[in-house]
Amino acid sequence: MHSSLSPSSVTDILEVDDLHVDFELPRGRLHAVRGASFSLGSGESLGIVGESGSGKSVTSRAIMGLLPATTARVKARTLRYGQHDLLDAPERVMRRLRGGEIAMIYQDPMRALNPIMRVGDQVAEAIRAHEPSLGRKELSTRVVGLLDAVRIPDANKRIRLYPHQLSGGMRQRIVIAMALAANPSILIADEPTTSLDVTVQAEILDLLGDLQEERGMGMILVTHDLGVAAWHTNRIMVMYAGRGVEHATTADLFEDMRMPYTRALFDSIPRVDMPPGSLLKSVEGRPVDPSNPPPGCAFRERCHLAVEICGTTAPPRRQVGSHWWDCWDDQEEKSVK
Amino acid sequence: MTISPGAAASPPDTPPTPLLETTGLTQTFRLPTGAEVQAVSDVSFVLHRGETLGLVGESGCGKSTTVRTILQAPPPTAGTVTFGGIELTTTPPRQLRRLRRRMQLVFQDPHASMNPRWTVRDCIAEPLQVHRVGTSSSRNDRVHELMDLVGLDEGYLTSRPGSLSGGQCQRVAIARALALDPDLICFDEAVSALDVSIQAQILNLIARLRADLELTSIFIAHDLAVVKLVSDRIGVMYLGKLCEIGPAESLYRSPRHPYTKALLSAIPKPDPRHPDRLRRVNLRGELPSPTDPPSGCRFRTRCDRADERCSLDVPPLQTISPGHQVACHYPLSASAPVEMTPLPTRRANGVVGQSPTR
Ligand SMILES: Nc1ncnc2c1ncn2[C@@H]1O[C@H](COP(=O)(O)OP(=O)(O)OP(=O)(O)O)[C@@H](O)[C@H]1O
Ligand SMILES: Nc1ncnc2c1ncn2[C@@H]1O[C@H](COP(=O)(O)OP(=O)(O)OP(=O)(O)O)[C@@H](O)[C@H]1O
Ligand SMILES: [Mg+2]
Ligand SMILES: [Mg+2]
Repeated sequence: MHSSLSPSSVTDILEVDDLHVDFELPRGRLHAVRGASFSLGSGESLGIVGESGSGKSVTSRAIMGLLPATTARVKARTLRYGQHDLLDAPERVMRRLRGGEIAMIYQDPMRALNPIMRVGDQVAEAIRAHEPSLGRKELSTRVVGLLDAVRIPDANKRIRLYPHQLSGGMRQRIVIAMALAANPSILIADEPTTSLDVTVQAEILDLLGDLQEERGMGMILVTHDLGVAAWHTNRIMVMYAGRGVEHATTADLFEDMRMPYTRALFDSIPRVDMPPGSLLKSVEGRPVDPSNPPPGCAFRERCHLAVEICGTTAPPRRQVGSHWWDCWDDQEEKSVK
Repeated sequence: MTISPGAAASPPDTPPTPLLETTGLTQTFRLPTGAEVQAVSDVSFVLHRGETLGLVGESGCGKSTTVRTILQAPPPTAGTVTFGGIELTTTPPRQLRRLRRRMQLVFQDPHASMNPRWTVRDCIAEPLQVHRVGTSSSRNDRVHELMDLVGLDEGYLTSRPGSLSGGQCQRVAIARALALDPDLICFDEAVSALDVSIQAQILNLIARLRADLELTSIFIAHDLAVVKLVSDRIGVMYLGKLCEIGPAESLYRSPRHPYTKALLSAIPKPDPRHPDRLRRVNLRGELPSPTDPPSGCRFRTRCDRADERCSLDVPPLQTISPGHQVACHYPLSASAPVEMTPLPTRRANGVVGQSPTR
């Protein structure tokens, strides 16, 4: 039927093409995002991975329209959600999308919760924000239903507790329940488990993966840990110094990391199969200064493959199917099928 | 001034005394509600000079409290702590304060442990000043030496902590902890808040310092792969109890306590092609309340091996093989390894070298 279109281009609910975000600060202009491109189909999950300061959160906040209007300058070839052009949607529309269609959860569950309000009431408030006409009975059924959905045992009892009476993992479940209140079609999870304990981390990531599948939601998982993205995404975009530098399906990426930074990120993850005393292959050196990004490839100072041209001219984008990466090094291009 | 490992090395003919030994260490807190929490319960272990002990376990199991209790802040409710041959629990406060300079702590949030108005130089020099070590010019030399040691550019001498990245700030915290040549350094989640790239740099720094300075340390982190990387031995805690302690390699290869096994199998592997996810041993149920821990073995409510005996008798920590102890009535057999086979990766898989032998 639609043989000329790739399947994903038919169902993409979110499309981001060449996103740029600058901040106009008293001390000058800061280039936080300098070219990020990806799309998200409904029911798909995308990982945005990169080191601290690489522009992951700014990218997600640009989608949500949550950047400070006074200082942020957002530009893009395309920034679209469904039929909405997010670049010039009126704030009224953005507010509706934010609450209902695109939901976001953050790293620290404590910050998203009101410390002096019972968690049940907070979930109820999140539901009522979208369905003001709901009766009391119905509302409390919905609250308990949502807490069940995020696998909170004894939901009936726990709704009466305050955030500080819950463990970190339980708190994050409450935050996820609130994000699900309006049945969003996209859930953006910005480092959702960084502040949690390892056993709980795995549980929360599994929960997010299950919910995303059950509900056919699109999910964007923002993380600095390629290992976390490995498990819970269909596709990954790696960012470095504000730029998307490699993008592929998760399977393809782990099969064949092309941009040297992606490989370096992978190598810096400690693995349990490493013997005690092993040294990690860390990316030495410092990230580039976002107010003064160098010409050429931003990664070159930390790259073991760098040659002269990397310092003068931006690397070409190489593409094989949906896998693309920016790099001057092409020795292995022929090996890709 | 140079950096010397352990200040008081024992003469060659006496058997090596451990730097640190705890016996029956217990810390009970009384909550405002009147309930009591045994945050640390009957924990005994030894730590030899030059050795690093990793402590792992779920949030709230008592790792931080163990370390703080060793440093007598606050002193234990019961049990003893012997440090360099001195019994700390009966040491008068004045002498204890002097001993404290030989034991240093590095925390998770480096920004919080530093005065934002100070410069990096002030932060690193503070312990030297407080303990009136050297002259102002020798202290200054020492600050430079320490910055070099932790890989901080001298350009940062006059920077304020607020303008440093998390990784740089943690380097300052480590330099500060090293300033007085401590015998023992405790790292409490010192790399947990850092992103993986920076974490790798700091872990490599710690590995280097351990080798070069023969540091003795206790290393707490919730990431089990991280702990394994830097530890000689590892202790696993559950609800205030030490349930297993043993050499890092063998404990990970073949855990003997069911809880250790469950913890290890919860580690996400950084590769989607790894088949382990399906084989994860899920901990059933929730962590019991620390104010009302289960009788007998505290882990029994979540253990699939538990029977009546486990609810009656507290399993003692027993030696199961040399240097390896486990507190379980029904330990796993040594031949039941957790599946952790490395994947065939296309290129080098991250291990670039072994630390020099100590
Ligand atoms: N509101 C803002 N005003 C000015 N600069 C900002 C603002 N938000 C972010 N930045 C800057 O933009 C750059 C990208 O930040 P961003 O928060 O997107 O990084 P990140 O990849 O999410 O990092 P982390 O892993 O630390 O969360 C950084 O240099 C940051 O300091
Ligand atoms: N000062 C205190 N007063 C009362 N209870 C405390 C105090 N300090 C710790 N606890 C309790 O003691 C137990 C052990 O806490 P501890 O902080 O040692 O755990 P942990 O293993 O370090 O956890 P985490 O991984 O979250 O840092 C917890 O139940 C905690 O609530
Ligand atoms: Mg961020
Ligand atoms: Mg702790």
